[in-house]
Amino acid sequence: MDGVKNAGEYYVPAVQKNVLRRLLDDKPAVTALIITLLIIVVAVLAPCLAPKSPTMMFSNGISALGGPLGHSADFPLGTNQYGQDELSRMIWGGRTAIGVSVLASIIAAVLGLVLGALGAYAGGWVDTLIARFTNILMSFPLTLFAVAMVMILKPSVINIIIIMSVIYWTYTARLVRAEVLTLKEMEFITAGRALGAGRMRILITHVFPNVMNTVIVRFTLSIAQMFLLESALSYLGVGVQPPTPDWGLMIAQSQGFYMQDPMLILYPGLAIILTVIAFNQLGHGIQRAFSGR
Amino acid sequence: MLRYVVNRLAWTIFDLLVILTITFALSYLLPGDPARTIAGPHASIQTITAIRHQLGLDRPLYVQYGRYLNNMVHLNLGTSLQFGTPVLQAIWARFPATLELALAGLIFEIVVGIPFGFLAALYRGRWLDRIISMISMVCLSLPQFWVGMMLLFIAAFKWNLFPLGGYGQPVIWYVILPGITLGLVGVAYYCQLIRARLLDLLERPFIQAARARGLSEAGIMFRHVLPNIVTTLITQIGMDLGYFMAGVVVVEAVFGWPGIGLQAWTGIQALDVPIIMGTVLFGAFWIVLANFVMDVLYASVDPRIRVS
Repeated sequence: MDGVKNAGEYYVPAVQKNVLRRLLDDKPAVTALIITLLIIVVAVLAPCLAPKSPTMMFSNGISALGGPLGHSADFPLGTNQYGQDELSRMIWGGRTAIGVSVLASIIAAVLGLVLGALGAYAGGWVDTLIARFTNILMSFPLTLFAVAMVMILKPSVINIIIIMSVIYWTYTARLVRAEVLTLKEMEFITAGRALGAGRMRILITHVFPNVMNTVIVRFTLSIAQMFLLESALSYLGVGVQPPTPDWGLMIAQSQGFYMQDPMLILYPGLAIILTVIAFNQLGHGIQRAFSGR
Repeated sequence: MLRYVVNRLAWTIFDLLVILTITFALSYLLPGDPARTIAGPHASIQTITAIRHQLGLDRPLYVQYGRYLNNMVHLNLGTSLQFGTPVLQAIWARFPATLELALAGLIFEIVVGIPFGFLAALYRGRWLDRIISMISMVCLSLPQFWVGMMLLFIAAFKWNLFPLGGYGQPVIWYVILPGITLGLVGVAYYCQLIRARLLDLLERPFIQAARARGLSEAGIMFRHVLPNIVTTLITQIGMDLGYFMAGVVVVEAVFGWPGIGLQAWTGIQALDVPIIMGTVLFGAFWIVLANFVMDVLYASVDPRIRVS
């Protein structure tokens, strides 16, 4: 997806200094940054921002026929079929999914960095073993594999974080491995070795800092991908469990009612799309800032 | 070439073995006792012990692992708890529907994605390129289940153009909406892939040389650019087919499409572990196979691969 990269241009030290400035000069990236920050702030402050309880079923929130209500002064975005306030649920709905995606992305980034760098740097059978295992994990049909694992471990927030990290570290590992293989041949690594630095020292002080760009970009993009996978799992009933408010789950719960009231899936759907676009664009923006293009 | 194929084949078999080990480990980790699930809630201890013995669950781990591998080699993926039929038989029965959906998704992403990728590259930097890039960026960020539900709402419910999900005759009528839903991400992906490949190619010296020789733009396209893209495309299409045939749980769940993905999903509610594990294995098998076939195809087209 990222096209062909010229490995050489990653290792220009002067580029590193201006990364933040270049990021802030990049309009799409700044827009994405502001939107991601807004989404995170709303998610974190949901308990203070939401006008009502997201799980309370209001008796005045259900129509005479027992269906959802449209928007009113009391319920600005209407209610769902349980009489719960849609606005409050929308405000709460990103909290769990964003937390899960960010945490799982951190774990996946660390795992991918360590295993990818270790394999490429050590070479030999260690590399073969890790690269092979990465490939094999990538051969599992992603959603189905996640669903099967959730079934085995039971759908809890911690288990979903574990499963998503186990699935996604491979992508980081693959990129890091490719980059470390190029790095290994560079003069400054040889120089470090000639000066008597140990393998671990070279790995930590010379190799890791040089692949951080890739890892950071991959980390940001994987938040978006995990967020999408998490919402799909919730839709399939193996993600966030009711009564926790969650955008994916809200869409799943409206399955029987959205033909009468499409807003029930429109709002949470747009929220998911906005979040994914924002994190994706932020990732691409950071990538542009790093590469100086 | 033969050496390359044999080498790749050996690795493919190794991969499958590791995959089987992973699925075995996962089944072994499963909470709950399969014997109790089969026997039902009112069975006596004796019955459960008998079933445990019959299933070999009282044997040591390595014996169970050996039996598991032996069963898999003989294509015995266990018995579905819901249907009481062999898992592979249940999967094969549903597979044609999944294949139809996979082909529909593939055709959609190719027919729409590739031309737009060409357009974006040819109009690089102009408004058409920007619009195409923007749309493909949005397409890559859409949750499939949401797209499916919106399509059902607008095209099937409001406009009455298509059936409201399910499966029937003529299939083409039923497969269009799920096919679009499945292929939408791919459209964006192919678009970006083709655009990037073309922009890269058009900068190459051999294209400039062809221009300098006075070849027409169309001639350059067909003689020099297309052959270079075809290999990329074939690999990608092969991989996609593998992934789609591996089961498309979400799309099948939204549309009630009776394929292997929907079957696995209903298996979740019934706690039908053999079906779910069987489908995961079946899917992984197709992906590994697609990987192998594409590698061999690629090597036969590009001799450099065989040597390294």
